[in-house]
Amino acid sequence: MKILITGVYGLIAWAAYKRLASRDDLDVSGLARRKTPSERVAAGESIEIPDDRFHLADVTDYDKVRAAVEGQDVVVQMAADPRPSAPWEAILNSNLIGAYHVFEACRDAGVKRIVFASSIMTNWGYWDDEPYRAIREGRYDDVPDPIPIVTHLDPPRPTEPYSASKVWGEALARTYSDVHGLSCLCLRIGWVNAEDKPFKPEIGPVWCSQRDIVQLIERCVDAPKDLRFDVLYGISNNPYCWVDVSRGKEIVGYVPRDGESS
Amino acid sequence: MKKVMVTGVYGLIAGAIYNRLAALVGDYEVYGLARRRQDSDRVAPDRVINIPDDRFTLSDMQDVDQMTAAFDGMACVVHMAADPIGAGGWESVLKSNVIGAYHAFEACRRANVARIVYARSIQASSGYRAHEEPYSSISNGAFDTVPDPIPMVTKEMPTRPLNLYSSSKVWGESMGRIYADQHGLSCLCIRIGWVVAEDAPPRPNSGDIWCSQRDIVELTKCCVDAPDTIRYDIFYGMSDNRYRWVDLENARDAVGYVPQDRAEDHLKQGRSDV
Repeated sequence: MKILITGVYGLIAWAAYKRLASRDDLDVSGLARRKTPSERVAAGESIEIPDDRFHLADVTDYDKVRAAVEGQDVVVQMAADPRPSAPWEAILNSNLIGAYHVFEACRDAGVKRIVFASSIMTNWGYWDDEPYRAIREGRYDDVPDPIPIVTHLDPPRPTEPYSASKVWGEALARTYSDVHGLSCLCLRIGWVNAEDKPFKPEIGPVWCSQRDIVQLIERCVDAPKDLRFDVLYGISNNPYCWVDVSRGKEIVGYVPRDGESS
Repeated sequence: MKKVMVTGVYGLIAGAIYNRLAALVGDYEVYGLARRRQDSDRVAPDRVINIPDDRFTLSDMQDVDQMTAAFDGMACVVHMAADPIGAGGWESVLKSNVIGAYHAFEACRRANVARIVYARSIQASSGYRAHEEPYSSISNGAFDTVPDPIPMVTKEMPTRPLNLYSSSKVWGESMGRIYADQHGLSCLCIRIGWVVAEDAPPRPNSGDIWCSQRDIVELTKCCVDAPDTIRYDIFYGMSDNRYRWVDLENARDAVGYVPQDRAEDHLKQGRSDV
């Protein structure tokens, strides 16, 4: 099976590349706009992707994206500006136009599946509503048990253009799945960081370890071909988690191994 | 006197809204923005929209500073400007619907507009009609298999876009959510049914999603007039059709919208040409 990981020098993408490339049954390549790792990737880590497995391309360049996805079975679309504070022009180019280019190129090339890196930020607005606000503010006595869980069926609550760009990507996924038969799995990825541990109160419930998110990506790569569309949360096993992690287990067998309670 | 800006003002629906509000002299001072100073192709040739020069802005919505200047002083912006069906392809959807929508919301924020009414099509939900029962049976005219009452698709349910155009609608509603929650702009989104120049269901099996011109104009007016305290909501702009499958109760409860028309009353006229 041939796998292309876009934005491969990002923190999560690189971790996923290393895992998938270690498997003999997968033929993994990467795409990035620079031949250097993102600053979030651990300093001093040596990063080497053989030239014949690397595509130097910006996702704003459709023709280069189209050439890179040729012959791929699965494209893991992680090329995006990851900063919630990113300026509009960056979101427009990298996240809106870039996502469209990847979906359209995959359709045109006959790629079978896209794993689209969405974000927990698509639900970030729920932090302002009770009882999630109580969790963020540490008022645990005000938190009901069980916590009402936000699922992929609830309305998104983006809070800035970055998270809206992820809602856009999920809308493209829905379209390309329903209309063009492309298998599209969207991952609402929790808070993954270089330190690989939660460090702020509002991060703890939605934190995701690097190995957990890599596991979820790998499960999506391996998932049955007839899986057409889904939206799965990539979150570790955290206390006060308020999004639906169980669907990942149900659909692709994702079992988080990390989290404060583990 | 409420100052209202209608963007895409020469479009079929936007022009009807402009004329309705402009006729209420003393209640509204209505302005228009469009990329051309002429009617769109969809509009009935006998319709007249008279917009004084000093109330019109020529803009293709690619310049947020120009839009901010045009929105300055408005109480409400009715944002209708868009590629209405996505026929212009990706470049058109990107410019008019993705960038244009962002600019509209951002210009409202910069100009301290109190409310934006963001109007787009029912297509944000059209995947239900194409792929889910009983909605696909309705669209196929297999009415004897349709349960009564019909389970309604509501604003809380996931969007089901079927093309780039409707994906851009999802983008715009996300902008509404952001500008309402983070910037205090009142954002009311309308998912408009099938409104046509002939003002009757264009095909026998289109009655479920048809909306008359006066109904969509009325809903839009309800949104313009709604209390300032309404921060964010999504309404379906639909007539009261027999096989309607989208929720109208929310629009009735929140802004008092009561549709006057039904597709069946117009289908009975027996259009033999369709």
